[in-house]
Amino acid sequence: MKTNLKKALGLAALSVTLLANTIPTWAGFVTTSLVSIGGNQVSRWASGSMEDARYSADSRQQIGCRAQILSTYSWTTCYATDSAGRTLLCGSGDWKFLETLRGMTDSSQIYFETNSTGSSGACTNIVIANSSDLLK
Amino acid sequence: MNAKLHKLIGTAALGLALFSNSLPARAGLATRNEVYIDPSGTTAQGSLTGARYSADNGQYIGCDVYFDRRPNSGPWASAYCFAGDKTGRSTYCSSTDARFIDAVKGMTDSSHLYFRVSSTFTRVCSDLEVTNDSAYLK
Repeated sequence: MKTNLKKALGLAALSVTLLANTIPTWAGFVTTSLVSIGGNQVSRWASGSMEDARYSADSRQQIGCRAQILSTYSWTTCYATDSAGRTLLCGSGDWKFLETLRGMTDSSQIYFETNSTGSSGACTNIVIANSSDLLK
Repeated sequence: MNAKLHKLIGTAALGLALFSNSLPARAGLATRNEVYIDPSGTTAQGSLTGARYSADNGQYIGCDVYFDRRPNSGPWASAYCFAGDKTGRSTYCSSTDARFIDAVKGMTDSSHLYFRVSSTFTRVCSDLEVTNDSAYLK
């Protein structure tokens, strides 16, 4: 009886130790930034964080940017798909957008805007935001 | 009976401790792109996560940036991209083009890479794509 009690206490103590010392508890200020796509009569925009899209409950959300360096030109593309399946894509040959992508991490929040009212157009604005509240 | 109860409580507490600290559940759109190198070794593609977490232990893909300011050889900067697939095929290329170096600086732990070697003799990169996409996250 005593042995069993000791065993149980030991296990409980081990549990408390693990709880306190393994991976940090997820506290701190947290923002959820799922993929959203919107627009008005002159432009469209998309926003969302890479991690929130990847770990969303649905299997549709996706957001990302691509830097293409070819021998004759360079091209930046950003694209997003929201939970409803709506998509938006923008592209640009402006060198400054490629520089902006250099600031990306796996937890970045991406915001981009296009001058088109359709599902694709030229990029007019790309924002890469890195912040503690976006970390998983 | 008491012993069983104590054991049960202990095990439940242990389980709870482990469960509460685990990583977030993995849902959402995911693409695992393992390394592919064409038979001639001219192009390679794959994601860092696809290579790292592949079932075999041969795949790798990545890019490095170098800056050398030694008096005798520098200053020069270059990007170097390399890949190996599960069949043992490997390829690499390098470039001193500032645009390629900038693209490599934009890589994350989950980037998808595509590169083309202009010539298997000179090993100069002619194309490089770096894609950072939520679907490539582990």
